[in-house]
Amino acid sequence: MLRATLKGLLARKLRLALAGLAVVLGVTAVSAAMVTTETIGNGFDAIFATAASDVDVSVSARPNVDESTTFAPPLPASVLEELDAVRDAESVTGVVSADGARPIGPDGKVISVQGPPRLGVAWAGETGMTRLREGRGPRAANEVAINAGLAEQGGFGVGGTIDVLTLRPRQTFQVVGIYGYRNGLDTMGGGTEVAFTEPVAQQLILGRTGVYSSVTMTAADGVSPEKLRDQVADVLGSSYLVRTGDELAEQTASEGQAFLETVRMVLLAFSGLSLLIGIFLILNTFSILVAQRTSELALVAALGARRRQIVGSVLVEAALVGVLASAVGVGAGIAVSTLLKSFMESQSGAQLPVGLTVPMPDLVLAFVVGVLVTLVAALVPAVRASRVPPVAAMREAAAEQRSLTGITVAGAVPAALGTAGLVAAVTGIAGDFRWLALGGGVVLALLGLALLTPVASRYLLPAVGRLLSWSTPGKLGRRNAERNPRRTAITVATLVVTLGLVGGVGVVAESLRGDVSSVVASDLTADLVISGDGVSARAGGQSGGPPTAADGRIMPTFAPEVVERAREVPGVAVATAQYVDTVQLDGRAPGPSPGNAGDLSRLESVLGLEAVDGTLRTLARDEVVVDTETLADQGLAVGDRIRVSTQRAGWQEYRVVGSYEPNFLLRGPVLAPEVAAERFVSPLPALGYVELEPGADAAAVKSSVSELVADNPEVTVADQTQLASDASSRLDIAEIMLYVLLGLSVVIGILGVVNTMALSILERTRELGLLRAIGMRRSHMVHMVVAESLVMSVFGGLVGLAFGTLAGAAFVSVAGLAVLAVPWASLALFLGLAILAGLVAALAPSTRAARVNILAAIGDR
Amino acid sequence: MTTVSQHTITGLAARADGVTKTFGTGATAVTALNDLTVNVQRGQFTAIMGPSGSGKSTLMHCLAGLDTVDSGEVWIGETRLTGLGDKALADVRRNRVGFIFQQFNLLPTLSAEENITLPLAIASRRPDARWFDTVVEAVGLADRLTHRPSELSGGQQQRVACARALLPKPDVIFADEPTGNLDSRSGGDILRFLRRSVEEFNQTIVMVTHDPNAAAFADRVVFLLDGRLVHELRDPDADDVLDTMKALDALGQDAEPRARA
Repeated sequence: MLRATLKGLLARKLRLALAGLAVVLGVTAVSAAMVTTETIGNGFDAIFATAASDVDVSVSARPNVDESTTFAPPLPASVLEELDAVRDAESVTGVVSADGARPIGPDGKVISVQGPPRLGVAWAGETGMTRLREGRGPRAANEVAINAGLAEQGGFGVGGTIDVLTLRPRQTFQVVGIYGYRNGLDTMGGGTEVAFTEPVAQQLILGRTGVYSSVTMTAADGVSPEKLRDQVADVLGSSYLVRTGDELAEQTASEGQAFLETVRMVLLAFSGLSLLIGIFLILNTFSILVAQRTSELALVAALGARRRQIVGSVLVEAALVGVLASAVGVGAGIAVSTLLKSFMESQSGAQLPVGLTVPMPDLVLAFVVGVLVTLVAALVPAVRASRVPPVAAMREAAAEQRSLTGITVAGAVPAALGTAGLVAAVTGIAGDFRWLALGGGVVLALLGLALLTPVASRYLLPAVGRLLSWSTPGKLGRRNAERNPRRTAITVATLVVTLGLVGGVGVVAESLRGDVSSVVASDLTADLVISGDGVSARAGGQSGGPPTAADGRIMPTFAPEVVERAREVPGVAVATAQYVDTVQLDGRAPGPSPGNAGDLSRLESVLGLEAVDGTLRTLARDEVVVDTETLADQGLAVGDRIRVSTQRAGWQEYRVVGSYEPNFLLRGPVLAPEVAAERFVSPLPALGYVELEPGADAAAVKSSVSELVADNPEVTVADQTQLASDASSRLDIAEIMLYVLLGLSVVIGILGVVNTMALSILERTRELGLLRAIGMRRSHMVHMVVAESLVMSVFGGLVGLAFGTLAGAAFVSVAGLAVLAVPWASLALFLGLAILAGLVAALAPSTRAARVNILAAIGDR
Repeated sequence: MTTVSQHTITGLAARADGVTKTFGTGATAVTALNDLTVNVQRGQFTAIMGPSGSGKSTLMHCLAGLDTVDSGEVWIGETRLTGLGDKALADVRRNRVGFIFQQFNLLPTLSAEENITLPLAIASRRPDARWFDTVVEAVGLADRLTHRPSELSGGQQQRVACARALLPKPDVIFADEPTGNLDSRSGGDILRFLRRSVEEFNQTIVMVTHDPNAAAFADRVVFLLDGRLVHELRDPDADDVLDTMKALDALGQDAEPRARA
């Protein structure tokens, strides 16, 4: 039996190659995800481990806000004196190094890095990691040294100048030195670094002189870092974070790896998707392979083979394909990882000091998954083949038509449940469980849809086909698409799922955009907004509320004088600034909250605020105005006292003197601007609002105000329309990322159609020969196959998009968005993609059909 | 059938002129047709016979434009097939030639009627309704037109194939062992239909067969051996054919006694 199987296997190389392709793709994606993330993770670990190798213990202040912020308040110099007294310390060094030095490139724009920080540091000489490549360290207040990565990225050289934005507005410095790192790296994980003299760094990066971002210590001989750590902790108490060098490296690396998690998720989601589609493909391929061999298998059965042997022979075949394809897939995955690694390095400017790290256990897992998936997918058709009575199978063309009743009933149940869930979610019957009802409904409905596709194809394919088949070859193609509903369904399953997701995402994104625009237009009465990239986008984020520096990064800011000078521009009625921070609240529900500061009497006008209690007036330093929702959450009322911790200054007590209706653009406590300058993470405002006098020339005012921020490349002046589109731009990025991911699965979907088409063509060789014999031209054959492919892909596309649109509409309704916007143009584009998929899929099979040898095909030679 | 009777006067429906066809190369080369010349008269029912490997199927494939020849010329009516491109050959097959295969070869996705009209449909031509009815009546399928091939018996499927071949009024219908897969009664139906097509509709038919009873329906039987035309019978009966076949078998065995030993 084994020998017969092996011989059969070799005789059908092409078909098996097609089946194997699906497995190869899935396994490639999985192993690429694993190797890439492992390699990058190791690279980061290596970088930060060496960075901390000279440090035995690091001391830093605890963040003032619970949220995953990276902003640690500065340490006063007095801490250094305290630490000098620690017995086992050999050296105690104050370090100045924090995110927030934004260099401006030669093109006048801020040099952008994706992910890694833009550090401002105090020059400490060639200690630790740092190695000067050229020039010297900074000695005067207007001198800086920069890291080699930044020098290359911005084209800076020793002797030139560099403009840097810090906690203070733009300043110009002389570049006196360029440095790299001990192991020959140009950057640490891709970040830029500007080294100032210590007092300048303290002033610009930490806010005032005489403070440090952290203190590093080395232990005396024979003292373990852990022992030193414990001694330091005893001296300083619990208000400081005291960590050994290893702990610090681990912490820093894990922070650096946050974006790595995203990469990993994207890759794993893609590989999961491709494996799922791979299962469809293999299932499909093997059912066709087995169907083609039904008579052969029946002959074997008639000769006395047992059913178990028949199933076994198919499984042996599947196992061989699975092993081979998985091995190829793992190899291809490693190759893809190499490409990904160099791609990421070139994109981020970071070099990884490690080679490719291959996680063997993970790869073995990927391999096993590939083989198992193949076996499982082959089992169903194998069992089915073994059940065919020998005599029935040996007759020509064993019946392809099997009853669809079973599968239809099986599909109707989840479809009905899913629909019920969706209806419950939309009508509000589900109450607090509406999101669960929606999610469950979508999943169940999708499952039901998959099972109902065969029966749907029976009724919908002729309708779709009629649009596409105006000639006889086209009609023949349509009939071919209709002839096996199960196979058609499984072929288009990928397209249905992918286009369903794409369509749903499109509807939701378009509706969110409409929602954001309408909210921005209704809540914002200012005519112009001064803000940096991403600030106004956050203002319109789907969570609502004002922009926050929630990630602890320094936001783009501008000098407060800008709004003062804007007030003098003719035609300006009101101009005011908003300072932002993330703060911690203390009350019935302690936790982080957006924090703001500004001149309330003016903010009231530009944001259309409504005072609920008290008045919205210019505040004193110890006064705060809080929105009604936050007050209610904390169980407070106007007149009470509230404790608020800002990122820079920590806990302070304020008196609540008023409350306001929370607004899409403003939420949480609002403090006096002087408080912000001292206690917020950035002392500069992040947002400026300008309201025009009636009849003022909007364009003229806009250009005058733009002049005021001309030297600051981080901020721009936008009118309401720009702001709304800017606010929705964050959605664009998320949407595009999702589309890219789904685009990849569309590619696999195309392969699915190609595969089925190719196998169907092989299966119908005799018919093709006949058609040629009775006078079909080669062009007719191509037309026929293209029509078949198009009918299937358009059908899949329509079903998927219809489902996606409905699911998206349900989401929009449950989320309570103001508008339901259907992006018709995008949907048409997606359908176009499905058509393109159909055309691509028909390419090879139609060529094959056109070249069929008539005499060989009709079995006369 | 006025046009057909005119052809009868001018003579030939199909012609192979000094045709040679070899399969394979070198030591394994097999000469299927060896400088063979055959004329097919219009309005005649010609049977081609011969032992296995005598080249009868190859001759038919070459005459029908399904296969090319190494040397010599093949004509359908006044059209020389030799040297025609694929597109022109496809058009000749669709418009000028009809086929009946041993394996029926119907399209499973089409109904009987759609199978019958398929060659005309490919050419975007509409069948003449009266002629269609005549043909369908002749094959006795009037009540089976909406059925799919899987719902028809073997004999019915072959009658659909006959109707498909006849409907475009081709210059020649080529039938390759049309009764080979049928029981004798269904086979008899097919042969009587072919005979009637010749007599009533003046249709030219060329049939490859190894069944002397089938050959007896023809006006003329040509016998092939090793790619050459070796004998010919006019208005044969089954016994004559059988005797000739026996003689040819004996000849064939004499020709290669050592190979058999």
